[in-house]
Amino acid sequence: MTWIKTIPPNEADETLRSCYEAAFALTPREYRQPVEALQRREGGSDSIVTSHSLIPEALRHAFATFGVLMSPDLPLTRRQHEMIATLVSAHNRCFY
Amino acid sequence: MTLDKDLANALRSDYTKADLSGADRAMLDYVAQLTRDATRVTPADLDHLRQVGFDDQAILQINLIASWFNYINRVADGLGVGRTAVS
Repeated sequence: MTWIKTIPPNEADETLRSCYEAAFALTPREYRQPVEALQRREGGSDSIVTSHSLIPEALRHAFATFGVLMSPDLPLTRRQHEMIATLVSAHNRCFY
Repeated sequence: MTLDKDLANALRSDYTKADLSGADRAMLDYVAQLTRDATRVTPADLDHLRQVGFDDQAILQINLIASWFNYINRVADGLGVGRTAVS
């Protein structure tokens, strides 16, 4: 469980809810499944997306940035995105 | 995740032993250096990326994706995301 208070989507007010929705509006469709590794479908509080919920605009912009960076209109392939993510996370020995 | 298991494991243990194209190897060398110690990245590292075919927009995308995952790792670890309750 995250060590700070979090507000999952199903408990969000209108402002936060719109940020949850906007966060992944720019994410390419094929990423939305794996992105569930980032956000629990049931709206559970222990997710990296929900961890941002006390600052809704940070949530919106951090995850909108992710979506933009994964755009198929940009030069890198999905495989290259995943290699980078895997290497960085392994290097940081990120528990998540 | 679409990477095959062998590649994912190689990236987690020692990416230099993975079977990679020259371009992908150069990309990951840059990502590894950026993650380890970004202050040691030099213009020569960017020239190497250009030599294997990445243009400036691709170089920026590589940097921003690597930087974003470094960001999200720190957010997660610094706030206990994904950890079971510990004392």
